Amino acid sequence: MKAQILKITSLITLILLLIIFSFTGILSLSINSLLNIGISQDIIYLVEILPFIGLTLAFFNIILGVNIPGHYIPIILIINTFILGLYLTIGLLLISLLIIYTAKYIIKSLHIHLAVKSSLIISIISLFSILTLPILAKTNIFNLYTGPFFIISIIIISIINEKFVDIKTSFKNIKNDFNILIKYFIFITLNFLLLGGKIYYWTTSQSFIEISILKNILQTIPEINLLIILITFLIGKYTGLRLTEIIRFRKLIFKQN
Amino acid sequence: MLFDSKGVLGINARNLLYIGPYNKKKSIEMADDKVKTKAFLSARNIPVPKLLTVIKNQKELTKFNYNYLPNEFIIKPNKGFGGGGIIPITGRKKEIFIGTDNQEYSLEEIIEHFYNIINGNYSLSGQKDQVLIEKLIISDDILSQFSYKGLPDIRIIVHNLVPVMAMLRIPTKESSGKANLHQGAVGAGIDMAKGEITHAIHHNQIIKEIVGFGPIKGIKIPYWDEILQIATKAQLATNLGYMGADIAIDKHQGPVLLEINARAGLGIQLANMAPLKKRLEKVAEIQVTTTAKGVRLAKDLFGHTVEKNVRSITGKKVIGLYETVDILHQKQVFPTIAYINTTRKKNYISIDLAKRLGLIKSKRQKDIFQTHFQLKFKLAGKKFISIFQIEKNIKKKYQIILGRKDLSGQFLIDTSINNILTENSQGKSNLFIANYNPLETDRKICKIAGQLKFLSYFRPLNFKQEIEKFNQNHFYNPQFRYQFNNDITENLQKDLHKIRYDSSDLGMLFQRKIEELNNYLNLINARGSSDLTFLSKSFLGFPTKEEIEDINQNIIEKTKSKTTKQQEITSEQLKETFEKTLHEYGIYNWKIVIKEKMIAKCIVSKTKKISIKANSFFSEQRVKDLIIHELETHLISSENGRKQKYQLFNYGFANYLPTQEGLAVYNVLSQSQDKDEANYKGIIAKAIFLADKHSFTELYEILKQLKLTDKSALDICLRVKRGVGDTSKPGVFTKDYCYYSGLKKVTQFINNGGNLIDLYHGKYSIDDISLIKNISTFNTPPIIPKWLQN
Repeated sequence: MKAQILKITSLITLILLLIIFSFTGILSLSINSLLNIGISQDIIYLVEILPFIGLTLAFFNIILGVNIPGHYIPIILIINTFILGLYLTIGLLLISLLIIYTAKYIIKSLHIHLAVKSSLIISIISLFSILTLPILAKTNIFNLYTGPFFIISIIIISIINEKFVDIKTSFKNIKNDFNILIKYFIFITLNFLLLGGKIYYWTTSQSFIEISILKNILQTIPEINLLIILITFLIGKYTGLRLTEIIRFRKLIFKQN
Repeated sequence: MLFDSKGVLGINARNLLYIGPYNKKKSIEMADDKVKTKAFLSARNIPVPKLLTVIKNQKELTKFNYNYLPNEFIIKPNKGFGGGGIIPITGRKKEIFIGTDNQEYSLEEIIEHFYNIINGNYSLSGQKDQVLIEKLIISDDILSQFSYKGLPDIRIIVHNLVPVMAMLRIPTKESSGKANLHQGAVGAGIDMAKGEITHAIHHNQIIKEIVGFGPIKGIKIPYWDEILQIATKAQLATNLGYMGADIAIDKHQGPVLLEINARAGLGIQLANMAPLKKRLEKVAEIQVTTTAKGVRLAKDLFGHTVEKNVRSITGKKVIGLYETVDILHQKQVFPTIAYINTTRKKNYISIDLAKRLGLIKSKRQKDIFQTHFQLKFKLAGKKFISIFQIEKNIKKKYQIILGRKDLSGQFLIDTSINNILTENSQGKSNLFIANYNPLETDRKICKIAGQLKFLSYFRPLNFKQEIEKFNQNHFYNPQFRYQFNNDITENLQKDLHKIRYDSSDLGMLFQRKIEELNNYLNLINARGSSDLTFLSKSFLGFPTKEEIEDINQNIIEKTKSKTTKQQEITSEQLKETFEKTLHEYGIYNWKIVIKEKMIAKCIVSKTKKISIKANSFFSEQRVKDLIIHELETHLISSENGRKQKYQLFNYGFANYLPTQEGLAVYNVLSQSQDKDEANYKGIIAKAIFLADKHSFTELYEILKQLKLTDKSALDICLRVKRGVGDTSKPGVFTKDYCYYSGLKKVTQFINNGGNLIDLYHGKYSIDDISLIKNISTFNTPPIIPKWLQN
């Protein structure tokens, strides 16, 4: 009884807050003041897209039944995509994954403590990052952002990869890791596209695809994020079958008919 | 809801509607901790695998003594999931450990694996963990026959104390002997009422059979009721409202609870082709107060519906085209296979069966097919009296044809539950009985045979008092009284009737054994009545006049001047001698006990026990004879029988007793040249012959005239008058005729060029040797007496 009352109270409070935020335009006021201080709109946008990424994550997991591993990794990857561009993010992800597997193969056979093995892997990745920087700089494939953000992004991807490919897992999991990688690619590409990122036909091309509807709405009416949060909440209450389950249990479902 | 799930439970509903509301955090934490779960449930009398040791952290790991590890054990992470980190070890060669797939693990690899477990490689959320080392479970024969190494287990979903759905998980080569569906194991749905397999899936696809084995539909899970009880009790104890219980069946221990699962997967629905949410909703509102009620509800609500529905609507039982039928004739039961043919009006019987029933002893061939016979029979629990005609063309696969005349209005025939006529590799037609599993049939028969302690029923309640009266006055005919347990015998007969077999060699042996057990039960029911003699003679045999003449000439005449031997060896000394002999044969696992209440001086039982009568004395010759008779014949046969695939080799196939006893006496004759035992058996045969016509006291006097001691004469009278009530009247129990008849048969067998070693595969009749050799596990018995070893 108490639990039910608490549930209802929380729901009502949330709805009330959403209504208040929507009507008072408090988010818009806050963003305007940031712009006035001098913070770039593009940086603010990186914060604004987080609820939408959360929504797509929930949608993929709960409605479609495609499990995107990790809570923060996909979000960080998408943000990195806006910093480095889609191709660079994916490329770096792939290459660093390859470096990690190679490093694991060499280090696994060394008879040293497990904790030290992980440290060595991270060190190898950072060395790789430093070595590739001059090459990348010469190719001039920076997209939206340059300078300090780039280095941070490289390091973040490297750390994600270390988490992504744990020293503890064996080589039998390569197929599993590859499947996860494909899921990430699809997820970050979809989000990048929906959130107004430019996907060039190739790194050196001037032609690109851009869907800027959602970007325009988010930047014009930031309060729309409250609606996104509400939809995310409703997805959290969904108890129906996931799409993958409908496929998996189709014989059983249609047998009932 | 975006899509109507039709009662199929998905992960979203499972998490939000069942795990969240019903599984409290504390209960989930305990379920995730195998050590805590084991201790908790074991304290509440729920059987769990034996825990050998736990290695809690790296400090304990460094101090661990690996010599402590037995040859067989299983390594598990305490908080593992999905079967990860589990390594069963089935053997050990010094510091090399052998896994289920004959993989070899060095000690270093085992240590590294322990290290990885402790570091949390296999635990939920990657936290530090503990290593569990448990006793390895050897799977029950019925389940292991179609699984690839590993341990098959049964996953049962329990909600509100009702087991709602169950699945057998069968390891395959693809899953490397693991029972996880995601890794390639087969999932087989189980009918909740009958405990029989319904459907099977592999990688979410329905399959009709298991590669290398064949169809598994209809195979019954042993200990089914017990398994349901364990699952329900585990839920009651752990308070997990939505729970998956994983139960394995150990060959020796029976069902054991491997682990409980607070987040049971959903593939069980495909294995059963039934939606889980519908079942969960059905039981949610029912008030279930006890585990027994929960199990009953599960069977009533979720058992096989079609047959039940039809039966509940029509009131008629559903049968197939081929059914086992019991013919009740002359107080005996003859189980046989019947073909239900509704295109024919009348009933027909084969010539073979008619001969067996004694219906056509001396009729002319012409008359046979025109004569009608009235027979009683039992089909699907219903008794009928009907007219049968002999038919020439009845196939060997079945013995009778039942027409529509008797069956109309009584049954419904479902061709889908039918038995199939197949051909075996020799091109011989074989009647494959639906739901027939030879190992299960063997187990059931042995269970009944084990429960039926036949001779114990024949010890009178007032034995001591009546013997005392006789000893005081040799003109007194004891009046024996027996304990009557008609319920027990009736229930055993019902159980026998339910046992299935086919018409293969093995099926025929099963059929004969079932018939024999039925006859034993009829004999038990006939104690103290006038029917005992008739049944005993029909079933256990009776000496012929020629045999008695032979006994008179060759035994009684020649033993008139028998000298008694000095009996110096006590029961305790005999026990020591036996132990020494067994050790010489490398047999260490038999128990030798000294017992008070025994008629015979020494008995070898099927349960690895030798009983010696207390306060007895034996001569040296007698000890030698006992070793040959009891140890080097019966015990060795029993040990060899135990090593066979079918346990009936140990319990004894039909009519094994004359062969075993005959072999024992023959061995004594040939090895110790002591004719006393053989002669004694001849005298018993004569006593049986005489007891049919004389009272107890008359028989006693006659035996005294044969120069037998008072004690021997009394012993023989007691043996042959067992089961008789009023011993003042003629009456006999002919069981001990088997010694004489068996000796004759074995002697004939040897004289005809037979090999004694062929009689040591287990316990069976000499007449069944050719069938036995077809089903025996080994070409040569593993243990044979010393004198046959060359």
